Amino acid sequence: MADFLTPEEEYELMYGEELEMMNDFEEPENVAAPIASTQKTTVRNDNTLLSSPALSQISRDERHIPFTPSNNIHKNKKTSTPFLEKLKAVDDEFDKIKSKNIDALNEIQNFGMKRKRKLEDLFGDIYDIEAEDAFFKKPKTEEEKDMETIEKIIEARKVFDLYLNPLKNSEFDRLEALHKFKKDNISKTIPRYPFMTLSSLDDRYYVRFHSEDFENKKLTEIEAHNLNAGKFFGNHTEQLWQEANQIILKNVQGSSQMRQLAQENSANHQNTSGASLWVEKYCPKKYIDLLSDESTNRSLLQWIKLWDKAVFNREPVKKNTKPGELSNFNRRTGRFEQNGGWIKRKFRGNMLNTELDENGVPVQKIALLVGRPGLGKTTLAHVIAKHAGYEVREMNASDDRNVDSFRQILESCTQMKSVLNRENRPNCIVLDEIDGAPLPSVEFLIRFVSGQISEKSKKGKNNKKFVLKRPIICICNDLYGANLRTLRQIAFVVNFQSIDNARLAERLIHISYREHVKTDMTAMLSLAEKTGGDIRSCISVIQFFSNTKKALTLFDVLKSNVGQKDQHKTLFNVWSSIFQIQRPKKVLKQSSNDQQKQIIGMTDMSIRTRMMYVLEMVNSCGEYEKLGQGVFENFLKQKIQDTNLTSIVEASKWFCFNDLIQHKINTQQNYIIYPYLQFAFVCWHFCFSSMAYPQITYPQKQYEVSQKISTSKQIFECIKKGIVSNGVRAGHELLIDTISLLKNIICPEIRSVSMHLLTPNEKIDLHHTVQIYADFGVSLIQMQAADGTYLYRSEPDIDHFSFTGIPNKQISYWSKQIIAQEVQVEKMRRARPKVGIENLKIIEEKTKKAEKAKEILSPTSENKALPNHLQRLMPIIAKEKLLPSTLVCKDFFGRAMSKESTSDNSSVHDPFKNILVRSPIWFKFKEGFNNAVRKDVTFSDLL
Amino acid sequence: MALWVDKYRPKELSKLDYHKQQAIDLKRLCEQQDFPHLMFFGCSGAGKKTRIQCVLRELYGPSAERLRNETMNFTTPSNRKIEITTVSSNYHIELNPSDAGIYDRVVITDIIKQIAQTNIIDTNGQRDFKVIVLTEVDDLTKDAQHALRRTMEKYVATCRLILCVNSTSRVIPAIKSRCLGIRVASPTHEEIIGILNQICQKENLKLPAELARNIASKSERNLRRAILMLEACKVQKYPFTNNQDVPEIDWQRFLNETANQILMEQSPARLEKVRDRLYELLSQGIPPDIIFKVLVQVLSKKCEVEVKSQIYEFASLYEFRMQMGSKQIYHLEAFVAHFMSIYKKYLIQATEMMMDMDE
Repeated sequence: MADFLTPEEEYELMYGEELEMMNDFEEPENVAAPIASTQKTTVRNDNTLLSSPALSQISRDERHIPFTPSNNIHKNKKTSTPFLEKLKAVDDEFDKIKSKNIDALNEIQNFGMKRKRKLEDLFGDIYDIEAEDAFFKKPKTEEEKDMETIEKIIEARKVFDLYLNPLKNSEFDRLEALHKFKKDNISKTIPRYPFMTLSSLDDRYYVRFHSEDFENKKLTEIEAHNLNAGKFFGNHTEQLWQEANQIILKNVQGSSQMRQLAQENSANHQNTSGASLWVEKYCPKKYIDLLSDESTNRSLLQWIKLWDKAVFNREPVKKNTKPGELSNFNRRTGRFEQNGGWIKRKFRGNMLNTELDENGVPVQKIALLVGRPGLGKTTLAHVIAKHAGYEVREMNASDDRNVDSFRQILESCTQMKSVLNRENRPNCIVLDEIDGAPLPSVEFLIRFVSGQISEKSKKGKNNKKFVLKRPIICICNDLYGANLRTLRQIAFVVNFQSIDNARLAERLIHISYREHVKTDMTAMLSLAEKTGGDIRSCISVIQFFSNTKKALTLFDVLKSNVGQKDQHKTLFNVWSSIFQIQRPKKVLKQSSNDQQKQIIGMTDMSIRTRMMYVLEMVNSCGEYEKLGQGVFENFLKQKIQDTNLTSIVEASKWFCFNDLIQHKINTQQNYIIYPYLQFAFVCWHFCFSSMAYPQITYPQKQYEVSQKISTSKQIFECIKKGIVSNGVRAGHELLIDTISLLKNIICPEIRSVSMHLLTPNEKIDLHHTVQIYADFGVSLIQMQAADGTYLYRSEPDIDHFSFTGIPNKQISYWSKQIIAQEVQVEKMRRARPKVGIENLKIIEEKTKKAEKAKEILSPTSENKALPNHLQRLMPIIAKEKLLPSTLVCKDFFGRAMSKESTSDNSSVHDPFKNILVRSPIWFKFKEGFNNAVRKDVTFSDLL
Repeated sequence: MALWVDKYRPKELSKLDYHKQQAIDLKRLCEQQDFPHLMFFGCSGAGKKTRIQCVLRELYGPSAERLRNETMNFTTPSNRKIEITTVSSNYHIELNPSDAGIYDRVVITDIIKQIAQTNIIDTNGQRDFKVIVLTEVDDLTKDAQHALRRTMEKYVATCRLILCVNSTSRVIPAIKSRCLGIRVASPTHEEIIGILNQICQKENLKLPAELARNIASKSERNLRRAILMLEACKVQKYPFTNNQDVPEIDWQRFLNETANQILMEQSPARLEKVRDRLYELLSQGIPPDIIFKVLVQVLSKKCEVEVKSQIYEFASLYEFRMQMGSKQIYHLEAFVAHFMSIYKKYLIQATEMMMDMDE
């Protein structure tokens, strides 16, 4: 506005002086003694009609009075005049205009009459504006000027008609008077009357001083005119007068702050009325300005500094931070305090791995900033990168994010330098909103970072391994998104906590002060609370309110719907709201007597409010099942004062109810009953809530139990599958009846003596036990316990099925050892290949005989009877162990060879050796049993 | 077959120890050409499967006892691969469809149909149908049961079904009406004692009458349990004594202790402890309905008559809800809480009465 003058103003500037000169000629000046009245705001007469004087009058004036040098006015306003003077001047002007307007009109009319004919020829009847016209026409006669003027006049007339239809005549008079007055009292050249100089940047104006007598005279004139002036201001002169006074008084009370405000406002208005958002405007530019948690900032800064060696080739400063130093961080003030941290807080978040790898690059090559929207993640990334001397290259969801474009960006950023950039800084890549990127792209990023992508060089030098030398910062909202799983593991995760409300409010106050939005701390605090610490939405709300030109009060904040987005409440928030009675909160309420009016009040502790609050909280989280689980595992820990446990019974009923509904939903996908789930939480709230802060633990029982159930199931399945005997039934009863008693059955007490020294009864017991083990496919396995001792565990683990407080019958290590050995032997015996049913039976008989009588058996006869293709190789070792006292060996073709051997178990390998020694050639079939036709082959045949 | 339970299981209908009339009837049934679908029902440990096995032997001869374990794989509509183990001979196949959990319907529709559609190739067999033994049919979902009923009719030419059920109440009437129901009642104490004595005779052991009675009563007329207990006793301490400790089933002992805890104190803290114990039981895979049943039995046994009717009333309610729902711990705990509340009220009343009496 200041830069471009409207044509009217231009014209006025060009010819104003001449006009004034002319006027000076025509009217003899009233030279009077200078008085202390500066008449600069000539158009203030309009003020009475406007509610906010400072801002909107300019445009209005321009519209009304095309030939008024509003330019001047505008500039005058800029000069700093004491407000009281201004006030007086306004008063005075107002009077004068009123008094003069009639005289002036006459004058102008007369003046215009001379040129009337000519104008009439051109435009027809333009009587109401021709006077003005005359002025313009006088100094020049060019046709162009005329045409311009005509257009302006037509426009002006339209405006006139629009705005001032009822007051046409009087308005016209007023304008004339105004002009006249200006001619009389303001000049650009040094006037002949006494004057006061007003200077703006490039112009200088001279304002006329009038004598006090003159002023008085004018005042009386006004009074006289007031009687006639009914038509000028309608019948509301008195009212207008009062209103004007009121406004002026108000303005006076606004004191110096308001004045300053007004000045800056006019300056700011031009900037902010444009596109720039306050969020951008007040975005922190320096590290100091950052609003986010200091520990978060520091950890990221520390990480980016680790790159110094790789990027700037300077050693990172190794700082020996004392662990106590960081814990002294005070979240409320946002500073590290020397003695303020009386609560020793653990430095949260995963600690940064400060080591560098062999390339001098940090081990964690990606920093991943995680947090809810509006906490300042992007800002932090930018600020830190700049702070550490990098040039930020950002890529966000608006960019194309397929693998190719990822590759392009990453390669260009890491391997090239920006030429256009004067400062020649290295790049730092900021990948914003990475959780929206497709999975292949993220995978590519990980491969790229870990150096698995060889550089594509045209000459085929693919062997050179690419080493990332630039830091990459990724930003996401949801750390646990499916596509970030791998990234999460390799990246340095920086978790953003929500900003302390008080700190945020402080900053908001600061911003609103700078923007001249009137507000107070309570409003800001409640705004911060309402938006849940979202800086962006807070600032947006303030900016939105700034346009209303009113003070932003608590009332507004509470009333507004802004910032009330779908907030995701954490589970713990909801749980604590269930177990804790909410303290009264400021809210808007319908006042009881007036339905329209809302008042700020406190929430009461009525059942209704509490219920609504709990419902709201529960809804905002939505994970009913998890929430219910949390309540279930915590409600018994709350302090409940009822002797008969009625509230617990009531709550339990609701748990059952919820379970039934959940089950219905899960099995039938019948979501129509879903809303009923939430009401249980209300009941639990009423049953268990108290004012005290609840101790809440995360529900893990259900998960643990389900894990245990699945392991039990697995073991049970193992046992079921392992059952080899035909007789044993596998079913529920196996679990319920058999296993628990089985544990008692399979632990016979065996003396710790050698096998040979056992009594026959003991041997029978042992044999029986071993048979059971073998039937169930259970074996004992030696394990080393944590304390180094050896122990036997059954596999599958039958002992898993035991309860606390009920001891399992345990047998000695020695007994277990014997059983374990025997079970192995028995299993091998059973695993013997089945040579047809008959054969098997024969062998069984045979082994039984062998056990009893310890005779040397020759199974040759049976084997010979078999056709060649039915013969199978016999496992030698198994036989060996079976019959410890006798040795039945067979040669390659199944013919038995008997030989006495030492009845020692340890000499297992001897017969094997013997066989090898005896036969000059032997073959070994690696692939189990072969039923192919076999015949003797000698080497001479092969050669 | 080393466990006595398996070792001394009768193999033939004629060798059964009790329900002899029923055994004769079954034998006659097998001799007829017309063999219906059968449904054996009765408590666990009553001898249902023994009888089924005997019937199979009666039908097909001793080769029906030659069993092999097999696993069958199938794919659910949601592309999950599930395998169930089956036990089969040449003539019959035994499987437990409820192993597949909620996919049991697929087992019925796919596997059983597949089995039922083929004829027996072995012409030597006396019968021209094969038998499918389904165990724990009462645990089947309703869907699966409905899928079963058409299968039973359609493939009647090639196969017969023998169902093994604990309680018929959870079997849909449509299936019940298609089968010949055979109730296998639990053996009486005397019958159990007789069987125990037989076993001991065969094992060359001397069983005192007192101990036999003890075992029989502890086993709650569950023959399997009784024989297992006997064997455990033998391992524990051989020359039997009259008042020897009979090893209990550990989860039952655990539940007993839990019930005692409930009766001793009624408070939120105690409820929480009880909850942990219930969780432990569940995590061991003990079916919740059995937990519920035993708990109610133990509690009602130990508390006064005035409370009993109340207990049964709401116990049935919570048990029903538990069957409808999916998180059993809620219902179990709700029952315990309710019991605590009622019992506590009763105790307070009783003490007040006592005080009044004293005055």
